Parts: sequence; C-alpha cells; structure tokens
Amino acid sequence: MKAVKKSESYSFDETPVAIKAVAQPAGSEKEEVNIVIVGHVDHGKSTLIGRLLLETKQISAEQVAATKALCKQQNREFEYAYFLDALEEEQAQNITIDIASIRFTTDQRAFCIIDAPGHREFLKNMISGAASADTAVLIIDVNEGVREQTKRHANMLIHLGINNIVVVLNKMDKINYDQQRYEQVQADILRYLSKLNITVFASLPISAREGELVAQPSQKLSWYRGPTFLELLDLIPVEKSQTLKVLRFPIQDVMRKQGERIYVGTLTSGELRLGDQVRIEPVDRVTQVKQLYRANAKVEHVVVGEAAGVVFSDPIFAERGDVIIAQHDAQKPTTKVVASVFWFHKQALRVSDQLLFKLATAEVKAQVVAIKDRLDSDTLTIAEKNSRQMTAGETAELTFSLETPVFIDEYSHHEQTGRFVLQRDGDIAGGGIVKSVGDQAAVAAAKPLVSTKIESKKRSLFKAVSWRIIGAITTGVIAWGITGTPDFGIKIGLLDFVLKIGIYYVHERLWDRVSFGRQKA
Amino acid sequence: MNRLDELENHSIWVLREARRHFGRLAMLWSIGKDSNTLLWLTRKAFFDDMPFPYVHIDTSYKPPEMIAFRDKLAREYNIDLVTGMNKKALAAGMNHTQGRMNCCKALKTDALQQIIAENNYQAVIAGIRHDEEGSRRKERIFSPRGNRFSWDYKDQPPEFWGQFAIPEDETTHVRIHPLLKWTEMDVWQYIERENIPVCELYFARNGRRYRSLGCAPCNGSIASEATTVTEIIAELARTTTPERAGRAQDQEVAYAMQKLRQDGYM
Repeated sequence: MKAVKKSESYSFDETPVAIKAVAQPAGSEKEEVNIVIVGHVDHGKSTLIGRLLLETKQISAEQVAATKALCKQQNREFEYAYFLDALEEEQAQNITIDIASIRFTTDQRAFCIIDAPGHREFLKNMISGAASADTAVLIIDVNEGVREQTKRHANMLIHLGINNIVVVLNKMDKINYDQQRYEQVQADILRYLSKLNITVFASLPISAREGELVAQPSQKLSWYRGPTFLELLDLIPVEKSQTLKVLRFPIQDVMRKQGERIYVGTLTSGELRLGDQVRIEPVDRVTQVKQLYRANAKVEHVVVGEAAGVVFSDPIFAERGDVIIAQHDAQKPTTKVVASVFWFHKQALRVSDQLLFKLATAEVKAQVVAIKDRLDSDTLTIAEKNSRQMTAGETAELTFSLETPVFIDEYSHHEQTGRFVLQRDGDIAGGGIVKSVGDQAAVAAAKPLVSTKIESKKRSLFKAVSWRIIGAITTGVIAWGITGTPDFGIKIGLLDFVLKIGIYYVHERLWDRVSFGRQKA
Repeated sequence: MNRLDELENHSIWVLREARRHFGRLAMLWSIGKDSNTLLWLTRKAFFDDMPFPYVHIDTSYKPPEMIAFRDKLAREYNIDLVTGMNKKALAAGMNHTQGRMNCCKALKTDALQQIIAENNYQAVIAGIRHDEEGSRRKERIFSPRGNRFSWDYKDQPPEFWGQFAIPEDETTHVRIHPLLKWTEMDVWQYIERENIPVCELYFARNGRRYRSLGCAPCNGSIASEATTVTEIIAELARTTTPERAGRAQDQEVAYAMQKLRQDGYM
C-alpha cells in the first residue's frame, strides 16, 4: 500500500490548470489515501493540518469557537495545532506527544492525515503513525533549515517503505517570502533525500500560520509557479497494493465449527478458490481447499484483504504462523534473513543478541548475526561498515539467524510477509523490511563480521609492554650468559625494556596512518 | 474493496487477534450503536458464536428503552450477559448532582474496575473510535492499562504493521479497540448495509432524537426529523455539530474526557 517505486515528478512548468485534469477514480467511491506529516520539532506539522482543516471547513464551527475560547482564556494567539494536539500536556507545552489522525476529503480523495510528533524521544510514536501511511509530507522550517529530525524522519520513511514524498518549506513569512533562501534550503534537502533514494514528487513554499499557499494561492509567493498544498494532495502518486496474483495466506488461528477445523486469517496477497491445490509452509504439506469462508459466510472465492476461513480436504495439522501458498510456489521457508532495520529501544541492540522476530502471524526467536552500514544517530551518515551495536534512532542492515524456519518474502515482492517487528522483553523495540532471504542472505552473512582490526592506543601500549618484558628478560639473560656478570645482564635488560617500549609504540601509531597494503572492509 | 469492507475485515482481524491472545476476555456493551456494531462483527469473526461474555456497566440511570433493548438482544443472540454496578456508591446516594466527573468515575470507571477484578479479565474489548473526541484520537488498538487502571497516554507502546503489544505483566489488563478507525458516518452506513438492530432512542420522536446514548440525566437530545437509518445518514452529512455535544460530562471541565479516561473510563 505504498507509494510507487518509479520516480514520477510533477513538472513545475505546467500551470495549475493542467492539474485539474487528473482523472477521477472510477465509481462513486473516493480513493483512500493515508498520508503522514513528518519533520523536525516545531517546524509546523500540526499547524499545517489545523490550517488546512479550517480553510476547507472540515472542522465544525463549534470546535473552532471552542478552540478560540480556549486560546483566549490562555491568553495566546489562535492555535491551529490545537485541533490535533488535544491533550492538556500537548497544548500547554506546544508539542505533539502522540500521533493523531483525522479524516479529510477533497473532491477526488478521502485522506487519513496522520500528525506525527517531531521530538526524538517520541520516535516510536512517529513510526506508529508513519508505518500505515501510503505517502508522506516532509515539512521544514525554512528559517531553521534541515535539522536532525528532518533527516531522521526521512531516513525512517525509507525503512517503512515510503519513497515518494512531498517537501514543504514552511514559515516563509519569517523570511519575508525570500525566494533565494527557499531555493537554498530546497537544494539542501533535495541533496540529502537523493542520497537516501527518496523521490521528491514536489516541493513548495508555504506559510501555514498565515495560510499562504495552503489552500489558497498566494500573492506574496507569486514567484512560485505550481499548485497549492491542497491541490498537491490530490496529485501525489499513490499506488495501492497491486492485487498480486501470488497467494499468501498467513494463518491467524484455528477454530472449530461442527467438527471442522477452520483455519482463519487475512489474505495478504492473491486469491483462493474452492478446489485449489495449496501448500502449507513451513510444514511443507500439500492439500486441497474443501471449504471457504468470507467472515462467517460460505463462499467460493476469497481475495487479498479479506478475513477468510479455509477447511482442507486432508486432516492436516497447521498452526498460527504457517502460511498457505500455491502448491508449486518456488519460495521456501528460511532461517537466514538480511533486512533494513530501525531500532528505538532505550537499550542498544548488539551482535549476538536474542530477540523475538514477528512477521505477519509468525513469531520466532532470532539472533543478530551482523550489523552493517549503521547510520549514525547524530550525523546521519554511515558511521561504520560493520558495527557491534546500534542504538535508539539508528538504522542499519542486519543479518538474522532464526531458531526455526519461517516463510518469509522479500519486501519488494510482498509487503506484508516481507516486513517484521522486533520484540525485546515484551516491548516492540524495532522493525525492518526484508532485503534477502535464504541462500542469498546466507552469502551476505558469510562476509567477515569485523574486517579491519584497528588497534586502540591502549591496546598497542599494553601489547608493547608485554612484548618488551619478554624481550628485555631474554636480552638480560643472554647478556648475563655472555659476560658472566648478572649485574650487567640486569642493566642491559632494563635499558632494553625502557627504550624499545617507546620505539615500538611510536612505530605502531605511525603504521596506523599508512594505508599501504591494508585490505578493504 | 470499498471502505466499509476494509473496515469490516480489519475489525474481524482485530477481534480474532484478541481472542487468540487472551483467554479471559470480555466485551464492553454500552447498548449504543458502536457496541451493537461490535456485537455484529463478533458473530462474523467467530462463525456466529459469541465466544466471550458481554459486560454491561449499569449506572441505574440508563433510560428504560436501553435496558429493554439490551435484554431483548441478549435473549435473541444467546449472549452471556454480565452486568456490573457500583452498588456501594449507589447506596451512598451517588448521582450527577455530586459532580458529573465524580459520578462517571464512581458509577462507570469504578464499576468496570470491580467487574474486571472479580472476573479476572485479561482484556476487555470496547467500541471507542478515534473521531469521537480528542483524547480518544490518541488511542492505540491494543492499549495496555497500568495496575491501577491508568492509561499512560504519554508513553504508549508502538503499534504498527498489525503487531500489537501483549504485556507479559499479569497485573495489567488490555483495552482492545476494533472500531478505532471507524467514523460515526461509517458506523451508520454499516448499520444500514447490514441491517443491524439499534435502540429506538436513536430515531426521532416528536422532532427530537439522541445522537449518542448515555445516562438519562446527563444526555441531551437533538432536534431531528430522522426516523430511519437512511435519514440519520443524510442528517449526519449536513451537520457540523460534534457527535458528543449532548453528553454533559464531556463539557464539565476542560480536558474532561482526558481526565476521566486516564483513570480508566471507557
């Protein structure tokens, strides 16, 4: 249910009139779009949504009056963000603590707009909101420019499968609607996003507080040629889950009805008909569909997204976590997984840690085999090719070894059987999308864990000392043997010890700086 | 698949998750349209069975039409009905004149707490929705509650990709909200499509009807001519008034619902 993978950008040379030509979806049903607003603290996420709701009159007059009264009572300007930041603490501190979603409709689409918190400590809440989004709007205070959470949120989007977004540069009023500054910040963010392989469908300048280019065209931003934010909402390309023909039916539970075992669950892909030959993994059993249910009704055919029930013609023992697939499907269960992982638990995740790996309805113990390409949580650049650990707010490519085989897909083939969460001590602590499984993953895992052995200064010093003690004793003993004078032997030994320790240390540090002959990681 | 189908499938999936993870499970049944929709969805999810008890918190101030409707449905669907009542507070004369917040807390929250403790429920299913009011908008589908019933809205567990927090700690219970993503309009359209029975108080009599059902002393009716579900849907499409505008406890103090709900109110 995510945005399209191909780049599909809006051309800024087109006039807004051309935009109206976008085809209305077939039938009376509007296209459902989940959209999340992300970005740094205080860059105006909740304000933008509030302003949009107000200008399009999707907030009741009563609610506007109540908010006005509340703001007056608190002696402050009208606060658009209050429509979504409903908690007392949120209003008092002017922050969003937890996500809130609100329905919003245009002529063409029915949106669920998700307001995400921008504080780093609420990252798990931001993910809870963004994970259900089809696409995202990244908002940046043009005055402050690209900040830490701007980058972190963008990086998270990629790990949640969102790769085509809209960029909004807010608070243009604070910089006097200056085009030059806008272009400068726009260039910064576009550069960063292209590194992450995020496609920017469009970017535009707005002032959420003043309502410039939110729902109405702006005189002050006349140099910008393109649609308003509201118009853009109808244009963002969103490709709902392609109705893949390949069957995926993770078993959720087994129920008994009139002596029959009904395997229930929701099809995450494909379709199933009465009489179909199916295989159940990882138990690797083949059987036939004898009876089918959609909810509680007997039917002949169920499709992706439906809460289904199936009865097999053979007495098969399957359970929650097993997946029903087509008989000749080439995909096999595996114990090796390589995935792009994000982590938000307070305690760091380390190589060889044990976790609970939850994918669709399956749950299995997993061990972390390797942590590669960790993105540093402060600089948001690749900190290490190979790491021993990752901390909250970081992302990396991880290799897992599962205790028992699980049926897993690559995320690019099947979203719902290609993504997972990681649980530690009963808490959901992170998640990831699967890049490769089975043999391919095993190859990736076989690569050396720690390839460059750079000595710490402390370690080289200790090594030098221990080596010199052995060397000095040997020299001393030999000197004593040759001269026959124990006193001379001791003196030579001590001199040897003190002098060479310094030479060895300096020598080691110098070689550290030379790249000659060093093998690549 | 249209929106109602998507919502139905999602709710059935949540109900099946609830049943799968909690042996001692109950559903809160307020007799309103939302919990009747849940009742309907339960029958769909469990092949016409009702695999858990339905708990009704009776404050003794509910309109008689609600109680009559409850008993009729319980007989018809063979529902295992459990009623909870804070008899001690009622004997001491608790009513809304002692402050609506106090009354809601004693007769609803405390009564619920008592019945959860008595039956040792690990989880209760409730029909709240995001679009009802601000603090409910912040809710998760699986919402763990502290041992003193509290809702820690400032530190909720992450919830995404259909994976829920199942606490290992025995002292807490979990609230499960299968209708969270539905809107008032969705519920009525689904009631129309499925022909779900609802209490007669929702339909206009002498030019007035109830939009939200609750205790008689604290619930105001609205001016309306809607006598059928279809007419209610048409009325909702026009209105700008919030759903719970008639519920006096919501307007009692600033952040009233947040304050009630952080102590365990539904």
